[in-house]
Amino acid sequence: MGPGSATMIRPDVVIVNWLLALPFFAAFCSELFPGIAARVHSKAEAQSLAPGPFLLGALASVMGVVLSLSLMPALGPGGVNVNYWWTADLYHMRFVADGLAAFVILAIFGLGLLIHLHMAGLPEASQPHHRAALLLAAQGCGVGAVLSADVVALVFLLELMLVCLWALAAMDAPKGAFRMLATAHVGGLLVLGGMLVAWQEAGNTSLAALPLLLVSADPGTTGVIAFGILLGLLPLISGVPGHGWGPLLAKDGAAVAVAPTSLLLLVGGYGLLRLLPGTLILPAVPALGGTALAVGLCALGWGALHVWLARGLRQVAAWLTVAQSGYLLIALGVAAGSNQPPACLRAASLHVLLTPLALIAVWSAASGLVTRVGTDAIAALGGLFRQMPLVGVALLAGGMSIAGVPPLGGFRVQQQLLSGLVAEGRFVLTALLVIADVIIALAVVGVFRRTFLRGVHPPTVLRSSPWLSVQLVLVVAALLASGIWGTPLARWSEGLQNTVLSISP
Amino acid sequence: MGIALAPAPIAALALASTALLVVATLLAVRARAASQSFSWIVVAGAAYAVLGMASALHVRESDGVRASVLQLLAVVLASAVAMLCSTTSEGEKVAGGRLATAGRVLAWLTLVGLPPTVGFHSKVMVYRALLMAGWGWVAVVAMLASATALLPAFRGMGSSEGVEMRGLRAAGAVAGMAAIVLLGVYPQLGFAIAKVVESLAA
Repeated sequence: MGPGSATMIRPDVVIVNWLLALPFFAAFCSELFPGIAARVHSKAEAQSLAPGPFLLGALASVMGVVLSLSLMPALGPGGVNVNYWWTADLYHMRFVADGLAAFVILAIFGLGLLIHLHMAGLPEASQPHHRAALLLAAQGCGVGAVLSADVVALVFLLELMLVCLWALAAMDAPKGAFRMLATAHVGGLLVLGGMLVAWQEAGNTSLAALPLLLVSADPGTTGVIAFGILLGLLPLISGVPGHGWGPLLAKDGAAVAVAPTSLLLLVGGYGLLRLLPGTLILPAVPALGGTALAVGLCALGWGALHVWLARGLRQVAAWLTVAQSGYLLIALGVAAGSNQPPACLRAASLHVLLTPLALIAVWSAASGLVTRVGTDAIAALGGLFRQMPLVGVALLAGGMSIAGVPPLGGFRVQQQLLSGLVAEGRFVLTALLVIADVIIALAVVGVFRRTFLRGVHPPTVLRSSPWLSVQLVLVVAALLASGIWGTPLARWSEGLQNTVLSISP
Repeated sequence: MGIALAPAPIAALALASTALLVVATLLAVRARAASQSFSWIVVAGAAYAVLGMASALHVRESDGVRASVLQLLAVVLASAVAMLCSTTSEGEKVAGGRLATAGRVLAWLTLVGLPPTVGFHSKVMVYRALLMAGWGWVAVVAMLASATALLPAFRGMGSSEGVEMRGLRAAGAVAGMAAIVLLGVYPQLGFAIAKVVESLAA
């Protein structure tokens, strides 16, 4: 918006804001008017034998996707320039045929479905309609933030997503939820600062102006914008030093922690990819790559060390979340180098897609143990594999995927990342990465062995909801499938960089 | 703007309002009672509005007047909603009054500058006005103050005191909350109001 103009956000974005806000208010109203909530509750209870929670979650996810698709027209000329989904002829055909245009949306759809399943399957997940509404709002806002072509709308949706996730997580873990909102809000202010500088330089709030600034703005200004984006999105991906909310959230709200960790990683990761390499800022600011690399190494080392030292499964999950951010940042840091190896960018986009799946597996295992056994302290557990084989397999699959062990999806990420590093001649970094992988893999195997295979009398285990088992099977299957059939994923990720995540003036 | 001030008084005004913003935010953090914290954050909110005005006086094209008006609107709405939702006497205290809790949360979100409230847009406009005025460091301080305000905000939102509201009082609170959110998701309305005030001032 130029000075004196009366329009701050384009009307279509405002309409979408309205739509995105609706589920938030629905959740709000269900709290305000207990009569409505009671009706929904009783309806859900009446359908307890039917797959009510599953359908509710699926419906919520589909609505999130529909709302997100309505944001499409707000995209700039370099984005996914399609018509409104309900008016375009054969749009759905194109959607399926391309397989690229809405890749981010599909990823978030799948992730949302899994999170909904997770929340429906856990005994402590009460008020499913309320949670689903908040999660739906967060998902919609997250997709909107990733795809928004307007810098103010981007920050607005990002912050609204945080508010929704805060309301969701605060039901179980108020302290962790507060830390998450506070840390991420500081990050949001940094992003806003960068965006305001871009706005001032470009004279409008379009994201498409960012690549143009590289030509006209001085290096200092570009640096402020770039560092605002990088440091501002660090808390979302649990990168050091904005990572503290993860372990704190894990302490009290294992079941609900999966939503913020997975969704924030997805939104933060795609946000970074779209705003840094997508706008060509990453290679244009030399110091940015070095910073990303340094922060990434810190996060990976710090996370891997704590995974090794962790005494509870929730801690393992939390520190794996921190460690994974290191891979993403290292990939971005190397991608900023003089040769800009495309394999590193592919690794980054694959990482953002696959790591939330691995994290869901690990968090589900941790929260499943807490709810069924009553504790996640490794010293108090043992011999649980016979009673909870799926939980054990999920923990192992998730942890091994993050460490890049074949045939899991994470292997594809590591394959691309390591080949990019070798192509760049960064052999020391390659060795460090392999060492971190080995540390994480050994730590996860150690935790699995002590928790599930140790020859002690196992503690009493409560029965679990079948939905939790369904979810665990789905996640492990997805991790295996993405590892075994990696070629389509690699092709998608390459297309992703050239379409959704690229912004050209 | 019909007012023309020398640069020195304008700078002094900006400096004084920055100092007020910092002090009020720190006092809000320090205060033990949620109501005290809220009062100090309201003062800080007024300081944001003065900063917007100072930016307008310094650089007319900075959009500071609109930022200032929008911020004042946010502060007034938040204060009104919080006042309606707070206790007026000891006998009225009812833990968990749902409407009161919702009102209090929205009032705090507005003052902190989080969506979906009008406070988000007013804060963005103030930061932008400060940048346009060439006061980047003041914008940084203002952002830091906004982040710090989360501390008392969480105490305030988490406090259990509330009233069971009925009748006109409830209607007033609902209207205030609706206005906060309406201006938050459709900021053009707020800008239209600000434009009217700006034209009156001119």
